[in-house]
Amino acid sequence: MTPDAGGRQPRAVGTALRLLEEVARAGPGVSAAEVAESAGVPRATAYRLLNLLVAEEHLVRLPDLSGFALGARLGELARAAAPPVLPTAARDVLAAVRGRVRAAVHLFAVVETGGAAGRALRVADADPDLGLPVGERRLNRCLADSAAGRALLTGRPAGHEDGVAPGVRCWAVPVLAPPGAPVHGVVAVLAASAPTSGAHPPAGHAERLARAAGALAPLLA
Amino acid sequence: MPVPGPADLRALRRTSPVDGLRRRRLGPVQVLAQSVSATAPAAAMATAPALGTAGGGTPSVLAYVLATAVVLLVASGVRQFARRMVAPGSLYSFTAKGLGPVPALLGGTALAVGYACLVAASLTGVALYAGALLAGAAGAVPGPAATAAAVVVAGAAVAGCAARGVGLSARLVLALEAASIAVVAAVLLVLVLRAGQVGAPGPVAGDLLALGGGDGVLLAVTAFVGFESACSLGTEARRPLLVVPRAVRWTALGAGGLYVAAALAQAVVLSAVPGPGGTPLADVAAARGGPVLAAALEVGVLASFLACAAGSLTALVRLLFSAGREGVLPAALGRAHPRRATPAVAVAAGGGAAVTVPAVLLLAGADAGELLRGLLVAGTCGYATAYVLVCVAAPVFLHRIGELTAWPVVAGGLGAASLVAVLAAVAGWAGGADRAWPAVTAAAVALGGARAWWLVRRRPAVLAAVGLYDETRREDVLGAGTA
Repeated sequence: MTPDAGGRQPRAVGTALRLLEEVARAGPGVSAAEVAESAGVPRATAYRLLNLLVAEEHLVRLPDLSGFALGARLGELARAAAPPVLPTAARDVLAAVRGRVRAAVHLFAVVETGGAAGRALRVADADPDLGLPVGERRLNRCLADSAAGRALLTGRPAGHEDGVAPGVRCWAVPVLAPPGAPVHGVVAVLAASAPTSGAHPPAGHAERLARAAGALAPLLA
Repeated sequence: MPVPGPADLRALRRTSPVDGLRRRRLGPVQVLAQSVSATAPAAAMATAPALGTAGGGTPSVLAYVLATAVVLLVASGVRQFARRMVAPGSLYSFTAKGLGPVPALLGGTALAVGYACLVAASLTGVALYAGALLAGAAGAVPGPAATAAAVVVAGAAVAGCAARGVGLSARLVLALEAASIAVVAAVLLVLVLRAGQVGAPGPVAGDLLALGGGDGVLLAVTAFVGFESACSLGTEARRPLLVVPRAVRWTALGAGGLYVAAALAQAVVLSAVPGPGGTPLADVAAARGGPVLAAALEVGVLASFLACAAGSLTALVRLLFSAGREGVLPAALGRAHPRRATPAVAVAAGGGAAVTVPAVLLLAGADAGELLRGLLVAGTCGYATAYVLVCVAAPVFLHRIGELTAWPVVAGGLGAASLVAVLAAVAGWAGGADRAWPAVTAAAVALGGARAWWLVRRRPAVLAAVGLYDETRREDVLGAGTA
């Protein structure tokens, strides 16, 4: 069944977004009846859609259970869109590892997207000379097909040949938040890529990447 | 009137009042598994319609149709709360938010009796069906000591799982339940076909519609109880306001469909059988289908009873945990295991009681089949009381938060009225040794009332804390910050 373009579904989506904007405008603590009135939406419809938005955690109910506020999940959405900014110290670490590894070295930031997949990779710093083997969208479409994606999913170093990018050998190490940091888990992924036709990467490349990831951890988390 | 204006987000709590439970870990499958296992549709399909015939006669299909309608009304009320708040105390905390602490204590006690009786009944069911399997295999009928020992062993296993934490076995529980339902359905189908072949008289239309008094519908409601128990996992579920109400609705709907079909089938199968024993359907299966068919049925029902004991205990301990946190029950019950993040003390207390009662009664010479039926009746009276209160509480709560519409009033009124009618019929239902069981529930609820009265007089502050729920914390709100 295809959603009918002129029917109730698009209207419901529009109304839901309007209710969201209304809560943002009114400020925390606004009640369902107030939101319905100022958005000009029938009360029963407004209550149903507000409950849906709360269930999806775009909105939250305050402890009195009658007041609404914007949910932290909306913040995740906004953060996912913002380009990651690297501190100078982290860029220095990247420059150093690029000088010692005969491959393109890229750093991906991990962002929470709140969706079904939950997390995505954002290019924080691509190798300036050699470039990325595949684009960001391609990478995020199937994380398990790439070394960088696997490092994110498993939290362990990963290697891959002829995955999303045919003819390219990749290996990646996760940057793990150090203990005591406000976040935990994989905060970034450090990946290297080289053509499969070239010489096999000398032993020690993986260790150098891992050491660089260790140096990046306190700078990124 | 408070002045309307932006709420002070700094007043939000940093930690949840139900800290200690593992937050936001369980997925939708695990939440559904909780409701399904506590409802135990396979065991109910095989045993409940036949239980209704213990006094003779055919299972009433109409009773199941009516019970499905009533349960859907209750589910509607429960969902009004479950879409708006997350509380491990489930219906107890919901009632508090609608009707205040004293009705909540009455409903909470009734619900605790319901869960505890269901754990005890399921363990008895496990022992009963294990005994039937043993009798089929070895020809030896186990004595009361062996049956009581089986209750203790099964109880220890179930409590051990509950203390280790829910979640690890949700898929297993769902798979077991699905397999059990398939086995029971297949056995029923075979028996219906055989009944046709041997020329059994078939059910009389009047019998199908006979309600057999309040106990007919009550026993039909028995088959559904536990459908609401997904609420107790709210704190531990991801997206609880989405997945919990969904699990409640689908369990009620799915179980209703299965039961009506099973009651129809059993009306055909049992119509030719005069006096059922403790496991009537299994007896018919053995007589008409041979020992393999009977064994398949018994294994399926046994697994379902085991899952029911585990599911009901999970819900019971979270109810005790909430009351312990509030100070209504001893504070130790509100303690969570530091590493496993389960209400370990409540598991020991709740599990211990649910094992001891049936084990002692069995040792004292009670018939396992009678005990199962009695515990189910007592438990369902408890659930029904809690359901009545939550039906009334839902529209009051919605009015309080300014979100009342017409449907919750209609659903709550109809649901409460029909359950009150069922309970009244049970109270007035004379004769039979079962008479004492509803009185047990009534006595327990009276005890809850006495506790409430004492708290009103001596500890009003504790009473004010009733209705503990998992409030929105600072980190959940955009802009409130973690600073």
